[in-house]
Amino acid sequence: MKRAMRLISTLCIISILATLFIGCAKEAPKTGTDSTQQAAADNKDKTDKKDAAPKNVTMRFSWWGGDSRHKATLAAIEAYTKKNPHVKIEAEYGGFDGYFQKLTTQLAGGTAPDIMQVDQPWLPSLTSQGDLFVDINTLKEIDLSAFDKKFLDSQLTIGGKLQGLPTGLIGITMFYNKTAFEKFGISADTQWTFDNLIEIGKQVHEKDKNIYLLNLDINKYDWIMKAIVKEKTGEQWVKDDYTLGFDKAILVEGLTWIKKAVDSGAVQPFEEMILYDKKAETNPKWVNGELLMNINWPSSFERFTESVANKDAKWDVTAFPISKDAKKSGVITRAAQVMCINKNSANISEAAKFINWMFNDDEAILILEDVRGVPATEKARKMLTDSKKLDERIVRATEVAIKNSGDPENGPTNDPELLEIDRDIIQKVGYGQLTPEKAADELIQRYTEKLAELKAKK
Amino acid sequence: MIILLNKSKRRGSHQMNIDVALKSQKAASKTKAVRKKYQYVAFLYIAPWLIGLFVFQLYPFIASFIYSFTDFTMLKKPSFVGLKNYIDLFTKDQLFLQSLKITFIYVIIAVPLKLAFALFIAMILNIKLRFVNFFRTVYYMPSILGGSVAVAVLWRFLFMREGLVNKVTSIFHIPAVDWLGNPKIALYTISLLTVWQFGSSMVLFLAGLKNIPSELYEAARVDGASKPRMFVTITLPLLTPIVFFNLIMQMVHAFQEFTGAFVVTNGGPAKATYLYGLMLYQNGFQFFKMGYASAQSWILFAIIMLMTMLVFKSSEYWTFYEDGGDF
Amino acid sequence: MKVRVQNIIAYILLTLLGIVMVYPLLWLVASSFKTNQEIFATIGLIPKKWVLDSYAQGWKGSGQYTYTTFFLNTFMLVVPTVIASIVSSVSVAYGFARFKFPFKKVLFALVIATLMLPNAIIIIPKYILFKNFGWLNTYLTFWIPALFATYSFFIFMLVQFLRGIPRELDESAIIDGCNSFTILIRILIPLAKPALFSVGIFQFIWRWNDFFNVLVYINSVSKFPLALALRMSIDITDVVAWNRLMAMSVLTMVPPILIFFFAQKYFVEGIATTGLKG
Repeated sequence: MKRAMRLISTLCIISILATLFIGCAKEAPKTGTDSTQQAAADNKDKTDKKDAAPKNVTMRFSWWGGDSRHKATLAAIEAYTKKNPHVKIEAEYGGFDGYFQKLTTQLAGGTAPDIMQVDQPWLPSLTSQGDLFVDINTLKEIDLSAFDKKFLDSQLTIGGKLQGLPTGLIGITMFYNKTAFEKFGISADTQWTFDNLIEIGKQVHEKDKNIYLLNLDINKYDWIMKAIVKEKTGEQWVKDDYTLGFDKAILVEGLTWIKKAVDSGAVQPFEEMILYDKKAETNPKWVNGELLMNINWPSSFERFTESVANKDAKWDVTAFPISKDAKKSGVITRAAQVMCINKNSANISEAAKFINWMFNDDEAILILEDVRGVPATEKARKMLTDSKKLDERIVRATEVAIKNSGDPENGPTNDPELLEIDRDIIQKVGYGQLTPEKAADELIQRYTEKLAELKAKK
Repeated sequence: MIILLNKSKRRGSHQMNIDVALKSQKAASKTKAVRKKYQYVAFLYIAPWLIGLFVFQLYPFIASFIYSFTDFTMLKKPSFVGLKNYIDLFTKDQLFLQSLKITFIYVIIAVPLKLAFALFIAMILNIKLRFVNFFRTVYYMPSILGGSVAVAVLWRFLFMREGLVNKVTSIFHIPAVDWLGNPKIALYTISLLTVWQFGSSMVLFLAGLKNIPSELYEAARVDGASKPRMFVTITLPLLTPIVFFNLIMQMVHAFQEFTGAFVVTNGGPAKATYLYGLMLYQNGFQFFKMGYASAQSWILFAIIMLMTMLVFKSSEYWTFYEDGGDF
Repeated sequence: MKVRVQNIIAYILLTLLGIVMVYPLLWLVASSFKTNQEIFATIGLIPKKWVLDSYAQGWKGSGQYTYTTFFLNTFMLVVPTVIASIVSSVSVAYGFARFKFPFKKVLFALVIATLMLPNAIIIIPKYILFKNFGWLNTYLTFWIPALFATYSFFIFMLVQFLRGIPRELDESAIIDGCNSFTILIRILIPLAKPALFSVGIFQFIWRWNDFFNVLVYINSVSKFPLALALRMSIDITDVVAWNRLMAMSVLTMVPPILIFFFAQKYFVEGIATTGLKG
């Protein structure tokens, strides 16, 4: 009895203390954002009064990338701050691993940087959770004339607000080992279709058991499956009203392609491929030149070709398949990354000026080159082509992809939970655990449940 | 322990010395312990932890408990949804029970294997050998590597179709196996990775072995006890507190395991290594469903708590403390 | 004779298993001298084409800071955390292992309970807490919690070890005029050396390798520890110089290995050699 009393009293004390802590912790972030918003407002007032001398500001700018992007961006920051001595920019950069997790933690904690590099597929889910980024259209500091307005409207405008600016444009392309193609007698002018990818793939594998035509990982199977379906329906994969954009019969066709590809030997068996999912360029077969072709963003071209051991192999790009009778193309194009300004930033105006400089200033364009993909503005593309800073093949691939582009994918299609279902189903077909028909049933059933849940959240 | 001691007592008189030594220690401390009253000075010693608990740990703990009853998504203001998250997990989420099952299999395979291996190696490394320092370091190395990129790359090399493991087994005419690519096998391969990183358990066993007074072995040697007998009657009983600690910690850790499966297979193939910790991370940090993930982690908390309590309860029968078992 | 046979068996066994254990490290060292393509194409150790500048190039880092900064940062982060952990954990463990006080069982259950909730879940509330303290982007986020013994693992571990030390020793020390503090310092800490060194080694290696916590709490590249620096140039589209990355990974592992190598003799010098009778 005594023991029980003691236990109860301890629990009481703990819970009282706990509520105290929760109390203050819940309060604090609120005041934090209030004050920053206040500061933002103050700052705006000041910049509105044009006569005020520039006030010293320190901004934080975060991005992910590799060595070349870090170096170029740091150089750009240095050049800018030299010209604008009142501005100090703190660079917060790192690898891609964990960047998204960190960004969401910072957004949740109200400590996100003033300028953020964001991946386009994150935008729908991020913006559905709150008003996080400044509507670029409202900023007079940024000159949008160089950008393709249609692209900004269709891809980066969510809820009527322009969430950020594209660092570059990318579109699905295919690159292939020209040398190996010659060896196998595959013409470089082949107009690729979903069918002849399998046919030719089968022939290649029959000639040499060690060789497969395509180096695909799950994500690429997803692209192909969706492209086949989209060509037939002419609709979004998931419509804007959270209903399916396809029926079972058409989905079965998409899934059957996967089964055929595996059965014919056009692709490596799933048992072997899966080890290199999301890192297909490290697949030893790819490195040894035993996989001949890859479907990817042009920005991955260098990474993939560089990792092949045979340095003498020649590489070229070709267009992603489109059927003649397609209602809509399945080629996806999107922004390489998006530069966003934090809504709670105290220096929105200064951040906007910096971004404007990054995208529109000649010096900035030449410093940044293509470290964030082939630039999104015509002007920058021309400047870099003229100065031979761009790989002709990458420019060509991007242009072809944009020309062939289908509708930009909408938010619901790219919902991360739905993509996870795709990955699951694709593997079940690839491993032969389910027939395309059964797999289609499962996908539709799971999608229907998840879509109901997503819709309810809206 | 008591059972072990009694058994050995019945077996022969040469064990008497050790038994008496152990028993008298135990008895002595027990009688004195009973007399003891509350010693409030203890609060001075545990004060750092108490403060740390209230300032750093309790709030996150309780916050996550509260989140588990909300639709918290990190950025949006949470609203209360009652038991919905818990109900959804058990009734709607097909992955939940599956990942729970996988996790249990993983724990049951990886933990005992790891502990047995760690104890075995620790026993060998406890022999006075030349270069033993070098060997100890070598055996700890896999644990230093942790979940680094190198481990991920290497593990794939070892277990891919043309990998080293298949090359070795082919000598014995065993057909090649997709150790990581086959959904039926991948979980066992990932368990092996855990076993391979047995370093910290080994270190604790080594430290525990060194804590056993050498007098006991000398006494046993005088009585002519064999090596295996000494292991069963001295080493193992006196090591039980460390076995107990290792068991609890490895179990708690294995239930939450994330790194190995994340860097090597990322939950695949076909969700075969989709451990509970991975699902939790995905729900929380990829899908933003923090409320849902919190509910999930409190279920895990309850499971681990239950398992730990079982081990704690059972430990009364098999652990032996020099302090007389008074706690 | 018997001993010799036993030792030979032990050597053979240790060497064979040792190869399995150490192969990854050898491979890591070897791959730091290979070309990118060779790293991913072959598992062999000897590079076909030697790359010799990967260490020099890798050390330069990417961007503003070299690995000198990252190494110093890591030491700055890890060493105080390790010391604080040892001191606070031993004090708390002593409290639990040797005294009788109200709510002891409940509190000890709490020590263990804090180990059971996955870190991923409490990281957001913890982040907000540290933000309110104004500690973000400083090493205080690691130092202070260590000082307040929030690493329950070590408390539990030391309790287990202290309980393995007979109480007679404390009691005879009391007769000699020791108080509870001097018992801890003079009797128990020397006897628990193997355990204390284990705490130090574990904490050192775990903090040294920790990625997720430093990722969340540290923003400035100037404060990055090695775990972040190593991943700094891995992007999904950029070409990664894997050999430099491997070279830096090798260097990163040197301090933990040295620490382990030199600290391990303290496992050997347990009670067995210092003698119980004192």
